[in-house]
Amino acid sequence: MEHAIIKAACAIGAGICMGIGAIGPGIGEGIAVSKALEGMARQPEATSTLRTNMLLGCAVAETTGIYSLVIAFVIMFGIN
Amino acid sequence: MNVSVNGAYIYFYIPIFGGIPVTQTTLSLLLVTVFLSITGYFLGRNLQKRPGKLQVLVEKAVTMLRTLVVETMGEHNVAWTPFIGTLFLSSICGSLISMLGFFRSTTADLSVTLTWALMVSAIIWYNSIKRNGFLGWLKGFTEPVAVMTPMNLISEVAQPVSMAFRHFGNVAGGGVITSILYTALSAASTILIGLISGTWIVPAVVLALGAGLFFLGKKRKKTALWIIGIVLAVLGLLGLLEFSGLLTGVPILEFGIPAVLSLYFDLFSGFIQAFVFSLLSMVYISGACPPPEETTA
Repeated sequence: MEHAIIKAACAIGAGICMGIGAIGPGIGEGIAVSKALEGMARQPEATSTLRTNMLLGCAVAETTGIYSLVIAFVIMFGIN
Repeated sequence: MNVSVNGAYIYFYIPIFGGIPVTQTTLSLLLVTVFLSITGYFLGRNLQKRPGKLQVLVEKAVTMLRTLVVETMGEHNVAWTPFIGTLFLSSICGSLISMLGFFRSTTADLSVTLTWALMVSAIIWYNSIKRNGFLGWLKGFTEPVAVMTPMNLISEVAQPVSMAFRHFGNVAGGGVITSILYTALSAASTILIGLISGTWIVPAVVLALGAGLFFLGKKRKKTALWIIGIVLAVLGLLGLLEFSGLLTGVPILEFGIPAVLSLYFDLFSGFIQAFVFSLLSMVYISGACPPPEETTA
């Protein structure tokens, strides 16, 4: 019986962890991409540098999202 | 229907130091290293004045890498190009090796990415100690004001941890998501086939419908129509086979979809993570090695 409760708690925990963990990077990357697009619109010849820096910024902003993803996986698959 | 998500499978233990496990990651890491050193050796072997096609390509790649390093780290740090190039190539090949099917990508194992991150941190500490002495390095932690010391210490630890976890999380997470989807698709395809193979009439009708659509599409030259015709015909055929018990459990849904997903997870995010990892290492290392004239001033 306890095992079932643990598994249920794990599932709920992982869901919440990933859900909340995805809010921050989502907003952050949205802002980054919108600013980069504005820059590209204003200065089309700088598109290539803007694009690489935008991708890098998004990858770095995703870190906390990836942390919560890893923790969610640990909760889901690590605990039995 | 449980998803089998596990770390690197341990092949055997080397009995020294209490058993060092040799895992899938070690195998693919060894393969990547051997592959890169052999290609590196053969590419750089006979460099002529008038370069052949291959040499021009390799020179272009090396020059691009060199300009990237010079742009990010400054002219005086150009000696770091081989290190950054190795980091970048081994990270890309490490992530992409899992697309060969049998192997597990090296970067999907924390021990690999953490080692790289700690290597970069060791370089940073060594350089800053060499430049302004051990005490100078310690004093560096109380840089702007003494109360900042704990913050500086945390950020010093957070650097390698965040670099390692970012790369590891992306590649390993992608692998887990693909395997979860794979299991879900296999269940969906068995349900789909089971649904229509209750009696032999339904699959026969689906087969007939599929064939009809196929010929209609061919005649009317509407590609979408005859593709749907083929899909339905195959589905009907599989339903019949399932009902007759000749060929059961054919995974049709798992055919195309995971490949598209792994295209994003393995290829795109593997490349982006390799680029982010090397660029951040360049930025951190250049922070620890300022231009020479600055130190003497």
